[in-house]
Amino acid sequence: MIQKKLCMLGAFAVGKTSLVRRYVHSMFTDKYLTTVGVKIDKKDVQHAGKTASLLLWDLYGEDEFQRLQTSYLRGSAGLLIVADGTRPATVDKAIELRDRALSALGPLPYLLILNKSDLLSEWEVRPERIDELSRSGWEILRASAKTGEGVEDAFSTITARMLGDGR
Amino acid sequence: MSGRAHPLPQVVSAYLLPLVLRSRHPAFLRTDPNGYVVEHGGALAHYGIHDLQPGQPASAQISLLTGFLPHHGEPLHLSAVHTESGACADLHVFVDGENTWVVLLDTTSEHDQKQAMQQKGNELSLRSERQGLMLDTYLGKSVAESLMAGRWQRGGERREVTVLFVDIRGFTPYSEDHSPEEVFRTLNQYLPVMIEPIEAHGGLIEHIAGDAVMGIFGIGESDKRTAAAKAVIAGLHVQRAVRALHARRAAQGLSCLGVGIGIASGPAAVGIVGTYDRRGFAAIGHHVNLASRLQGQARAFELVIDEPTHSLWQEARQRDAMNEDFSDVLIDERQVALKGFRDVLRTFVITVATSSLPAAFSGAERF
Repeated sequence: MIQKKLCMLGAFAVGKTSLVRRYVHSMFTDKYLTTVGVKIDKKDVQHAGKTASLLLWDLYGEDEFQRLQTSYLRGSAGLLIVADGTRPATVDKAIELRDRALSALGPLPYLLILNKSDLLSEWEVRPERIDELSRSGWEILRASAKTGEGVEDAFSTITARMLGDGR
Repeated sequence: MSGRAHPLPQVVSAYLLPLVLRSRHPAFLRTDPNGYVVEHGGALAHYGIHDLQPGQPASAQISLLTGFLPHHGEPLHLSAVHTESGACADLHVFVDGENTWVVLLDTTSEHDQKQAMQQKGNELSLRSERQGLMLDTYLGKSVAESLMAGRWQRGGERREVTVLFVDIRGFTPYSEDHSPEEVFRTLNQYLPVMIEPIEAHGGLIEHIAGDAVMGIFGIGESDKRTAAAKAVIAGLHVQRAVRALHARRAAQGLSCLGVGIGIASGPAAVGIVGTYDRRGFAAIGHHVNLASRLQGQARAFELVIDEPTHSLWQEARQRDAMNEDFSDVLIDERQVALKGFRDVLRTFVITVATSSLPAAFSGAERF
C-alpha cells in the first residue's frame, strides 16, 4: 500500500493535535495539552479507487522558545498548516512556516486550515485578510476540531493533492 | 579554570555505560544503502516495533522512518518522537560506510519534564494573548464610542494611572549559571506569582519581557486613589506569593531569587498603538519610566513607591476601610538619585518580612 507522510504545522495551541484526533479517532477534548516533539498517527484513506496509508506527523507548535526543526519534515508529501481564527498572529506564523518548509523541501502541496470555526463570532482574523491570502495563492479551508465541521474535507483535499490530483 | 580537558577515563565510561543502557532502552537496526533491513536488535519492542523482516524496506515496516531512508549525508537526530508503544524516543540515523544505522534511545522522562514546562509557558503566553485581545475588543468599542465624543484619539489619552514594574533579582547571573531547562522551569514558577496578584487586583498586564512584568492600574476606573491602593496591595501580594514560593523551593533544595517592585503614579498617555493586525495597549510617559527606575532600586522583598503613590494610597486607606493585613510589613523612607531625573526623590520602601521582623528590619519602622 502506498504511504504518504503529511506534516501538521502551525503556531502553538492552534489545534493541530485536536484536528488529527478528530480526523483519526473522531474525538475531541477542550483540554489543551501542548505537544513536544512529534506524534505520529496513521489512517488508511480511499482515493480514486485506491487505498493509501496516511502518516500524520503532528509536530510541536512553534513559539519563541522552540523553532521548528525542518529535518522532521523530510519525506513529507504535503503540509497541513493550521492557524487559529481567533488569534491573528497565528496566520503570520503559518505563512512563515510555509515559507521555511518549502524552502527546505521544495514545491509541495499545502493548504491552510483556519481552525475554531465554532468560535466564529470571536474571530479576529478579518475577512479581508483571508481574501488577501487567497488571492496570493493560498488554499484556505475553515474547520472546527470541536464540532468536526470541515475536518474531513480538509484532510481529503490535501490527500487528493498529495496523490497527484490537480487543483 | 582553564586547561586542556582530559578524555573520560575508561573506568568512568565503563561505570556510566551500563547505567545509560539500562535507562535508555537503546535499540538499533542496520540497513543497506537502499534502506533494506540487514539486522536489528536491542529494545525494539520497547518502542512497539516487532517482527522486522530482514531484506525488506525498513521504512515500510516502521512508519516513523518514512522519508528518512535511504539516508545520505550528515547524521540525523530527531528528538521526542512518540512511538507506537507510548514511549518517547530520540531517533538517530547515520551512515557508516555501506551501512546505515538507526538508533532509538528512550527520552520519555525528559519529554515529560519538558512537556510540563512548555505547557506552563504556553498557557502563560495564551493568557497574555487573550488579555491583549480582550482589551483590544473592549477598547475597540470604546474607541468607536469615544470618537463620537472626541476621546481616545489615535495618539492616546492622558490618564492618571499607577504603574507597577516587577523584576526578578539576580536573574541574569542565575541564567548564566544554570541550564536553559532549569532557567525556564524557574521562570515558569516565578511569573505566575508575579502576574496573578496584579490581575487579581484589577491591574492590566501591559507586557511581560523575560523576567520582568509591567502592570497598569487605573485604566478601568476613574479614581486614582483606588488605583494606587490596588497597585500597592497587589505588590504586597506578589512579595508574599514569592515568599511562599521560596519556602517550596527551599524545601526542594532549589535556590531562591527575590523580586523587586517599583510603583509610580501620575499622568501617562495611554491608548492603542500599532496596526489592526498587530495592535496593543501601551502606557507612555514620565511616570512609566519612573516606576521602571524605582523597580531598579528595589531589593528583594521590597516595594519602592514614589511620593504621589504613597499619598494616594494613604488617602484611600483613610477613606475606605481596607481589610488588608499589614502585620508582616515595614515601611521606611529612602532618598534616591535616579539616572535621568534631576532631583533626588523621596520614596517609600515597603518591605515584606521574610523572617522575624526585628532581626530582618533594623532601622525601619513597623508599619
